[in-house]
Amino acid sequence: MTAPLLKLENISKRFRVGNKELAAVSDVSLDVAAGETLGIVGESGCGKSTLGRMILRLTDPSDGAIVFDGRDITRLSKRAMRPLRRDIQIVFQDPYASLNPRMKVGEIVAEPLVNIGMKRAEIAARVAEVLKVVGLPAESADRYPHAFSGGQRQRIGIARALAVKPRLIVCDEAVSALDVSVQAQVLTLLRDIQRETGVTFVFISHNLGVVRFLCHRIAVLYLGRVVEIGTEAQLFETPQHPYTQALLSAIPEAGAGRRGRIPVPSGEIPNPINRRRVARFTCAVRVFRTNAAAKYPRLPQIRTDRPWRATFPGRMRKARIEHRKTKE
Amino acid sequence: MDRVGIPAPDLRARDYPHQLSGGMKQRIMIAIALACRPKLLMADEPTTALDVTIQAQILNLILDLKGEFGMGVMLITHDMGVVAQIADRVVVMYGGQVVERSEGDALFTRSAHPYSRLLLRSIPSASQRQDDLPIIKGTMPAAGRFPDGCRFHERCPMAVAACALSVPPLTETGPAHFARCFRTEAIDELEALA
Repeated sequence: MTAPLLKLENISKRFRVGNKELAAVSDVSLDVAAGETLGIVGESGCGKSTLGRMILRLTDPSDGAIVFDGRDITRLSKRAMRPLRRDIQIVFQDPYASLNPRMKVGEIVAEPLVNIGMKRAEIAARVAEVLKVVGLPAESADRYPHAFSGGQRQRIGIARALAVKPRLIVCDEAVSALDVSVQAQVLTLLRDIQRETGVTFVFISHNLGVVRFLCHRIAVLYLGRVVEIGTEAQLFETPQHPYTQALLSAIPEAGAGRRGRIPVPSGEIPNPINRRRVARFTCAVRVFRTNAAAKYPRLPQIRTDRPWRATFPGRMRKARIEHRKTKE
Repeated sequence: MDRVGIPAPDLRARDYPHQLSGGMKQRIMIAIALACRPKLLMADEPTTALDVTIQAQILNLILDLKGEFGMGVMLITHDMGVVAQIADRVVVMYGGQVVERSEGDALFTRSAHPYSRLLLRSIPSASQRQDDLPIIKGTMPAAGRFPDGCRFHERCPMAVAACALSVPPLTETGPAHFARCFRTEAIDELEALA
């Protein structure tokens, strides 16, 4: 087995909110192999984006280590990170906010190339090349982002990420703002790019259908922790964690014979601030996926030694998630 | 507020909106709409901004209240999954026109318009792995710039010359099932073309 391209070791991120602490990501360990797409799913506020930002060192982890291609990059200075920026790129969610409206598309796509010191003549050629890869006409380079639709703008964002030939691209809700017909186009594009270039994706999304289409393996995040990780087939065919099961059963799927109430736990995801006072998903089953295939022998380091119990104070007690009660 | 599932409504009534979560705000909106016991509830993308588990709760709530108050619900959404869960009848729109109208599951079992059928198939499914997503070529034309004839014909793999000449009427294709397409009888050819 070759070493993983990206390795997160017991990563945590805590934010201070007033005089309280918000544990956005807690003790997450993940491996991503070269050429693989790892999906990260979960609902708002579960720490998906924070995790993605830490991989790019846009946010520094509070604890743990990020190892890229065998090298610990957790404490590298901004200057030392620079050469690595070429290898790790990101595609953001909002195709309207993530492109500078005062720059032409050609300049936007060229910017990372300028940053790595590529020669001007080579830059023009590379810009034309990546615009072609993402299916935009060459003359797009001379136009401003406002002239493009949402789907086209997301293609521009992908072109910018691809320009420097990165080895890893973090896609943070990269297709979430798009209509389904456009989403299908962009998803197909991402998959084709991976087949041609062997680029590795960390694909962050709340949309399980999208994740199933694109990802080889998927990690489910709940309140900053990985509660389940498995291959696409394992996770969708035989989900083990009650939260994964609840997520899957809550998706309204297009199809016949589905009319009626959806089985779903009551209550809402607790506020991650001051987590000691907050319940995690109360669960009887704490079986975490262990991929027996020798390809990924390392298990996610998840605390399984004590039950997670609901301990809501006062009036929030009623809102407790009562999916299954843990025997105390 | 109690009926829409807000815990401790007497306390919550004193909160400001920013103190509520997204799901609770949407419940309050429904409570406002229901306060006068309407005969018709219009819900425009009521769950689009919500997480799936909260979305499921809100949809269940709408279904329950519909039964309880005996009101009609007109739900506007881009999410075909929500439609499958909620709707007794469905109207599909494209470019400002109704392109298909059906009852019950007919839209999902035998959609009669190429746009509906392609749209349904381009949704990535969580319940089965798809190797490919069919792609509808091109983009929706801007309002006011619709082509002559069928507004979908430029993007339609089944289009023939007649489609560019006149607007097809809504024609009955089955019981209570209508589609705005000249070629609806040949709809099954779409699988081979797309």
